[in-house]
Amino acid sequence: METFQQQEDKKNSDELLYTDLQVNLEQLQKRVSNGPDLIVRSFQTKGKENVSLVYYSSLVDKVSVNDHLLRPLMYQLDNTSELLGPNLSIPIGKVTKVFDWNDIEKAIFQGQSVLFIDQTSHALIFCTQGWPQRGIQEPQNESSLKGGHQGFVETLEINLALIRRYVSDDNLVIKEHSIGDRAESKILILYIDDVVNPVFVQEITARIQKVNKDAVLDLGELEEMIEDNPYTIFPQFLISERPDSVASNLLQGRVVLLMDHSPNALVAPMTLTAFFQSQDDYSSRWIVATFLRLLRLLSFFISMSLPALYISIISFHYELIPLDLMLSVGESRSKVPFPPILEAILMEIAIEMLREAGLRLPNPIGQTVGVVGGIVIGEAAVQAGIVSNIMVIVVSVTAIAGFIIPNYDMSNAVRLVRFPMMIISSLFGIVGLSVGLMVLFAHLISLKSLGVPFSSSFAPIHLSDWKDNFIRTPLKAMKKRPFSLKAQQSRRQGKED
Amino acid sequence: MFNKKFSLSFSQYVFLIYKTQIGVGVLTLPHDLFVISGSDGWIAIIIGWMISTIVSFLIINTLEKNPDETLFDLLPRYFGKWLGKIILVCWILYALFAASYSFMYTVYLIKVWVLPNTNPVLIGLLFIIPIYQITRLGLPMISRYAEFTFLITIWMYPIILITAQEGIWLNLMPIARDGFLPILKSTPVTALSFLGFEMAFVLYPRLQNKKKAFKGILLANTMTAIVLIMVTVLSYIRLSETELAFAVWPTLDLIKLVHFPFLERLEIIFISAYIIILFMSVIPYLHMALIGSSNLFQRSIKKPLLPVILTIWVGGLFFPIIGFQPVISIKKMLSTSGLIFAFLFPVVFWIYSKVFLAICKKGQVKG
Amino acid sequence: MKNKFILTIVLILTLFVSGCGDQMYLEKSDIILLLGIDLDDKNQVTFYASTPVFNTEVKKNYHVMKVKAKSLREARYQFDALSQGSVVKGKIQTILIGKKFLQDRSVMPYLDVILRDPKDDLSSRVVMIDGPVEDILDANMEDKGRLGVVIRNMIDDTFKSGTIHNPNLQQFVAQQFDKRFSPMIPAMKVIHKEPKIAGISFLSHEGLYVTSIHLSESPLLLSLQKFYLEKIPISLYISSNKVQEKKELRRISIAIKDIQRKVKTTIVNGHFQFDIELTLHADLVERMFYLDAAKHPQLLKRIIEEQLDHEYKKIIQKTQKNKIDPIGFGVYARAKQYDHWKKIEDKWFDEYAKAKINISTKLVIINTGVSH
Repeated sequence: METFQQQEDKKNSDELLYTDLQVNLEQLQKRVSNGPDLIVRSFQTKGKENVSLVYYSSLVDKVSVNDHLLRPLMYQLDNTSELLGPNLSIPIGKVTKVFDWNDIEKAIFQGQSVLFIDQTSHALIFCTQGWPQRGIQEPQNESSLKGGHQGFVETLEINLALIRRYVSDDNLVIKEHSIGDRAESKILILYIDDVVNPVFVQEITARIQKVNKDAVLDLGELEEMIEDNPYTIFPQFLISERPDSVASNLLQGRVVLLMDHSPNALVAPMTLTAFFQSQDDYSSRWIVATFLRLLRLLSFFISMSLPALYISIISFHYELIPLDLMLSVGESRSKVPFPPILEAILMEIAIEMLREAGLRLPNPIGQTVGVVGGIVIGEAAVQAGIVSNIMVIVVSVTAIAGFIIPNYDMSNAVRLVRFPMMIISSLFGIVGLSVGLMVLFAHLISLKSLGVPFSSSFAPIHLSDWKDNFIRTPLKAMKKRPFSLKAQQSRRQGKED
Repeated sequence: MFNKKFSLSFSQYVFLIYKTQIGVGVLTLPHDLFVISGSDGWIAIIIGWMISTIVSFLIINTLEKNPDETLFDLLPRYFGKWLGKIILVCWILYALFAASYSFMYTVYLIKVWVLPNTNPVLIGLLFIIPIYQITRLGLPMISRYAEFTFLITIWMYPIILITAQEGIWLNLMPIARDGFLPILKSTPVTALSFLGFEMAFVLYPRLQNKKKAFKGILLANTMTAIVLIMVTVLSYIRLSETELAFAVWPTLDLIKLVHFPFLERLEIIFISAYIIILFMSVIPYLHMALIGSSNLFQRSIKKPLLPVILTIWVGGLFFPIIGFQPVISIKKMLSTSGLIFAFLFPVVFWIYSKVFLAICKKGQVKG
Repeated sequence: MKNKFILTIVLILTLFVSGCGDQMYLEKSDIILLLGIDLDDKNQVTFYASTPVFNTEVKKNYHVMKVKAKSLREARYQFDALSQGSVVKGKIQTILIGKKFLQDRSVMPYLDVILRDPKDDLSSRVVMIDGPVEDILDANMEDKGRLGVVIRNMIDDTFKSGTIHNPNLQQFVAQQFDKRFSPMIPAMKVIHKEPKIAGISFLSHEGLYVTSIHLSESPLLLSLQKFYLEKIPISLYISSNKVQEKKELRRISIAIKDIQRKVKTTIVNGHFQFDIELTLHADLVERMFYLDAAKHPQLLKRIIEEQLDHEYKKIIQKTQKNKIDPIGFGVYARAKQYDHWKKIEDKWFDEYAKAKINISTKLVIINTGVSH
């Protein structure tokens, strides 16, 4: 009841309600823009009190306003003070008493209904929100084969419900913060109290409080404002739309951020290797999951460096490849008029364009773009002698390898890293590639996520973490939480030693 | 982890020393040893290993008295302000020299083996990017990078081992064929390849578990010795004596013999990846020089100094010091200064510190 | 700080663009796959090179060049003058050396440029041509493919079948320089424009051609050298009188799978004596005469062993007579009798000719196929 106390303190300011209903309504017109959806319903209650119910018709649930609020107020209620008493007589979950205009404004904009009562200095706020909602759907970006098929939606309460269904622990702490001066958004910080390292909670809270912006519309925006290094292309936090993977991260000892109107959850701190885990890994056979993880690791390297390697071989170190391969590369290159780097960049850009084009178009058209683009580039360009067969293969393998990385942000980062790699290796051959990879990994190692080394588990080496990093050992063997998280309870199975 | 003073874990300590040791020496050691002691050279490595382990023990023993201070902190205390400063300057110059030499050597190696027609200045420019990037962030970054270097280059060991399959093991027989004198004579040659354990002078205060300090240095020395012996023995059984006597880089010739059905000429890939290892001996020395000079001026001067050093390095490449003769003669200089700083100095310092402490104690008792 | 960083990156990039001297596009270069060295009729050194043609519209997909030059480096300039792209020699698959050349001089000084350049391959196959090298370059390739590839495949295949040793350049050079060996290289021949592998030829320590053995004898030599890949096929003519059979049917073939060799090195009367105990694990693959193997299981083994001993002796005597040591007894001599070796180090091959070599073969037959 802190808010109540604050209101008492501010009694003398002019932000307070007036006692006269008409004055209040006039004041309301001034403060709240008079859009067509602002409803001001003035009437007499059964107990002959003059009241006005104010709400935005676009933001409320009309059924509950009409049936559960207006009807009892008009025909059943004797005295409005009963509304706050112990035997609450209307079927509305939450009723608050306010004295301050600011609270009223906020409430109206959030879709609550405000009841002004003549000759009183307070107003009542009823929780009647109801806005356009999307039903729970299968996650689009992180679809899974075996795990749950529910994804987050744009409503905070539902997202919270989805997580709570996985983690029904009384130690699950949820802290509320709000952000944005102009358009306020609610943010929830979730963590498991006796597992998480408290430093993470302090750090992320401090960072959120530092954000000073008129509006933060999406978690992605928030991520950029609170991450350790915004100048890198690598994501340092995980943005996920899967409640099960969020729950699993919570249980590992990570902190989760939910934000109203964002169909995602942000997980922090993350390590590089954690981006290559997928929730499906844990529900499939461990041998298969291990294979898939190694495949992802391989594709991470392929996606970054295969075109670069190809360029450096055919423009510097032809000695590296066996003779027969060299001859077929030579034959396929013989008609191409461009140097390899130009050829590669041409193809890469074509593929990136295709990908972006397909992404924004409706599904059937998107597929057509893919087919047309694939055929034109794959066949005609080779026939015309603009690119070589082998370059087409290299570029497509690279593109496919990029898709294997389960996280969208990470896959985008890797996609972009490819270009500097290609340029440097067209200048220095395989030495350039090696130095390029070195710079890249030095960069990755220098990154931190909430103060945790991003490259944790391989630099610094924590061999026990490898059980769930590059491979997935049987669940029986994975007894501990990741070392990098320094959780309070390091064990997940068996007794604490 | 959070704003606490960074402390090295055991594995970081081991890998940092180990990766500093593995560097220039490995590529040429079989040749250098062969010239003096023939195919018994590998025995000299064992002797070198024993000596460096003893010296390492002395280093740790000396530092144990003041567990939170580096050599550079101790020097002025033990030797007085001016003598201490002079020794400190010598150490900075030595570290800088070792770092610069490894850098020049890397450029030379790449220029000879992979990019013969590229301007060395360009290669140098390319190389200072990662060096700057890593050295700038200090010890936490360097130690993590050392671990990463170990992981990313782990494939090199099996590649070298593959060459064993067609070797003539009888080349090593008879052991100690010309007596032990040539072996002893060639032992100083191995010093260059063991250089790096003196890094403990700076690393020890940052080590988390100080009890394991000697164990770590022993482990690093042993790993280095195993690699050196492996490379040397394999070169001796696989390459002919003429090659060993005339080829400057027998290790690379060895790798040149490895062929896969999908990949030939592994040495090009090997060398390109080996620069990561070479940088891992440039960077720690550079770091050592930087913190030494910070000690000298009593404030952190890494930010202005590091770019200056790197610029000088690249600038140096404009002059024709990248050649066969300079590389060989400077290597001898480095070997000699390594013997003085890494082998002789710890022994002298150890004796001195024992005497010094004894006198101090006496003084205290009297006072 | 950030601006400075960007500035340096831009600077560096501009520098990069200004020079990268090592770029060499694959399709624009003439890659020598086959290099030939020979003497012509006037005893002038002639170099041959064959490079692949990548252009698919041309009918002949390889290109042959022939120049007269004093050294290989000089020859390369002339090759450059003859070809469309820049000539590179990092991928030489085969080095062919004419017999006439090897009878006249050692090839080593001519290969120095390859050994010195780290970009060059040390695994090129070194082959002697029994006849002029030009014959190989004129050989009929219409039904085979690119010359350089065909020759390489022929050699590799013969190597894998176990009838010749691994003829790579590094080993050749090592053996040539080593005091304990004398080198051997495979020999090729051209008959009616068709190239074929003829056998192994031996060079002296000085690098001159001495003698050669036929392809049917070379496996014996290799098995003596304890060389093996997967198998060494040996075909023998059995001279033992225990076999009652016509002359042309007295043949037996085995495939050696594993070899154990024990060599005892001693000094007897100031000369080396080698006692070799050779245990061969082999499959019996062919027996053209009748023998009741079920009744006399040891008999077959014994007659093969006897025959092998005899053949081995013949080969060893041949090498001793010619004062060459391709088998590498010098390795044992140095390893086991170092003090004595030290004295005769520089005249090992004379000493080898005087050495007494006893050989006893033990045969372990693993499989005999589906019949006895």
